[in-house]
Amino acid sequence: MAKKIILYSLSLLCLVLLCASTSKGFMEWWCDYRVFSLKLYYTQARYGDLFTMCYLPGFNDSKGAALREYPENNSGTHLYIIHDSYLQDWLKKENFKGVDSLITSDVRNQGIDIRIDSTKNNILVIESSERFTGWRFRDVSLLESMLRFPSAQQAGEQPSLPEEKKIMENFFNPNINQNLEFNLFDYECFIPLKSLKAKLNYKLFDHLSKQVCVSRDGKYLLLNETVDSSSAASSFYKTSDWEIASTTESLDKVSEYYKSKGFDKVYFTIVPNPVSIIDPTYMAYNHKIERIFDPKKLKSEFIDIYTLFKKEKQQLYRRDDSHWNNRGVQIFVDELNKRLSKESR
Amino acid sequence: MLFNSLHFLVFFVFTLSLYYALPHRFRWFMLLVLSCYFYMVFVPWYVLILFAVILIDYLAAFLIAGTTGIGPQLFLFLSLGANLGILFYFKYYNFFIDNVDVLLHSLHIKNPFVLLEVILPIGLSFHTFQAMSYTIEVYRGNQKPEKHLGIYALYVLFFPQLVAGPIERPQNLLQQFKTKQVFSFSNLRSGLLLMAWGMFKKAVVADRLAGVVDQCYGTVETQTTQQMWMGVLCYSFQIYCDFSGYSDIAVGAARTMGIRLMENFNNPYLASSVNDFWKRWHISLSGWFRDYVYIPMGGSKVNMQKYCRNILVVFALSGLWHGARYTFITWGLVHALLIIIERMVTKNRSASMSLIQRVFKIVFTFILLSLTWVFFRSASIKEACAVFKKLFVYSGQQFNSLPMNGIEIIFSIGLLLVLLYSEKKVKNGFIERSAMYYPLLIVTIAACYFFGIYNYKQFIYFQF
Repeated sequence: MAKKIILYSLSLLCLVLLCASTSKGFMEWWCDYRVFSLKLYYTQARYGDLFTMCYLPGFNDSKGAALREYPENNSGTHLYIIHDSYLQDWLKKENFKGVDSLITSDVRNQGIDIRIDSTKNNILVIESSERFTGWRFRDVSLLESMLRFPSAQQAGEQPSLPEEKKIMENFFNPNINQNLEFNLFDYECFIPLKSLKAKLNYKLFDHLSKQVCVSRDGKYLLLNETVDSSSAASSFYKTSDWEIASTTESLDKVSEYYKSKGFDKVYFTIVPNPVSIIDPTYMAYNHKIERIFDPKKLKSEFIDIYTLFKKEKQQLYRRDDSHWNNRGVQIFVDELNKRLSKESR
Repeated sequence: MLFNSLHFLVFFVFTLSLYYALPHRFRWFMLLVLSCYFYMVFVPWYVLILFAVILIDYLAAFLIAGTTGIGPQLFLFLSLGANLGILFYFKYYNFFIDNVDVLLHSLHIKNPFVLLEVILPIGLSFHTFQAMSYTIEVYRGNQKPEKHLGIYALYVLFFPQLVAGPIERPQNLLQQFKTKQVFSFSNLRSGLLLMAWGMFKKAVVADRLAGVVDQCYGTVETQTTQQMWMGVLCYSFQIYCDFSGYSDIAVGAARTMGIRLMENFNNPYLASSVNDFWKRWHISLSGWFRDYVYIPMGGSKVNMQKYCRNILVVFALSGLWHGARYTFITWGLVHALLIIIERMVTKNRSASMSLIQRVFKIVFTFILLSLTWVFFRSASIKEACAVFKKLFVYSGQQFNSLPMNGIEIIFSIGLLLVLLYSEKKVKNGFIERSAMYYPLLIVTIAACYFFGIYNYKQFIYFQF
């Protein structure tokens, strides 16, 4: 009898685990609940994304000092930001001077519906990291779909997946292995074991997760695709003048489009790949950012983070993450604040 | 579902615990449902193809056994036709149309056929061959038609051997599903060790060598002669560890449930001839072709001319079974030629050999086999020729960097020695009975974790 109880309990446990890990909806809820409400461990919330990809120890780093805040915000500026992961966690309207409304649209998700208040000063910033610039800044329809201007009738309507596809996604989730890993092994107690494996394979065989590599000075983990010259995301990928011209043309189109919809100013900005700042001589740097933001060719306005970063002596990127640290963000925010002060009504 | 995934690990623990928790009468149903789920993880709706195959053969078996005169033959052909028709549609139709196109083009006739845009259902050749062996055995009177549709469906769908064999015979498997399997600690021990050993071969050895092989075959032109040889030899071990690793996990998983599947490999690289190799490599497939194609054609007890014909046909079919490509057919035909040559050369020689002679023959056979794998691995005959050119015409190119450093090359050679030394000990139950069982199981699992490469790379034989 006891044997039966044990066997049934074990099978029930596995069934719950399988059902939970296969359900897309449940995992989205559980991930948020576990990390934010239960405060249970989640590697990516504590360590950088690159560490989570490879578990190679010795690169632990923090985000740094919190960003400056400006609580008195009532100058009548509405700030809109289309962004990627570089600005995902950092956005608070208090960080921006004279902004009384901040609306963001993550370029990795579907666009959002907005209504422009023409009595306000409407500023739009479109940000992309250098590695995605090649295609994201050339995709006019993508950028134009990030902020939608629906009529009163259309507002609130969300395109949804067909029912059949939803059911299939919940039964045969392609991410089930990652979900099981998250549910079973994403706990602090497993980190030493994972790190030992990573260290053994790196020291003995020079093997690291294919997504990650170590910088030449051994201080940073880097996203491999930003270094590998055969990848379009790389800082060393040969980028033709035609591609640059096509990008500038697209940016000008997007800028015109949003201005026609009521924006007073549209700024573009590109966050450099860490390797472009830390070690641009690793191979032949393609100078993509400087070429795109050439004021002789680009009619639109831009915020040149690359030039600001080149002047900076302090550490601007996290060692265990593909993103910048708070110091890096602060430089961008300060520059944007300067522009906002000029524009405030 | 891939054996080398967390998904399978949890699925397997669930299946095993529920299997022993449930009363015997419910087990077939549970295994059937879970086997369907296992298959549906790849492409859900392809399970319908399996249902169709099951239903056709289930009914055909009754019609074969229940009719006389021309009836049994007719229904056997209908059943085989349906199975082969499905196989042809998904696997060979486009290949056939391509060739028709070339032919018609040379005659300046427009090709009226269009290519199909279908994905090959995973492991299709395995389960259709297993299904066909059932109707053939019923026709031959070696197997009674199975009355229980669920048990028969489980014979085709049983998850451990569903997508890459071993291709079982109904006499071995059907009865085992009906027999009440009592939990046995010995079965669990040997099953788990086999599974760990299979995982070791796949994750630690095969997927490690895959990096070198992929680079060498991916960029033939830039490789040096030495590197190409390394790539070719590595592929021999990669495909062995990949496929036999899968078979070990399949056999081990079934064994934990008290079900004995046939062994698919018996140290094939210790074969002293190509003929000997085929008695040790993919035993369930070579047995299938032997019993259902080769022997009905006359086997070896015929004159030399017919023997050559039989061997060539069987090996061409064996090549074609692997895939609709000329490289596979060529691979099969080269094996056939080698076997014919062997028979001609060794016909009048005595069987006794000194140890040195034996070792020499093993090494020689291994090199021959490795060269035949070039056809198997290459995407086209042209690519295979380029590899052979690289192997035999010294290029004098500069040595490129390989995805393995010196330590890893030494480590890999060590792994292969461990493999050759331990393979038999694991398979024949020597370790399972020794006091070293638990330490060795732990070491194997630890090696799988620390040195395994988990990029969820599919098993090579899944594509067949």
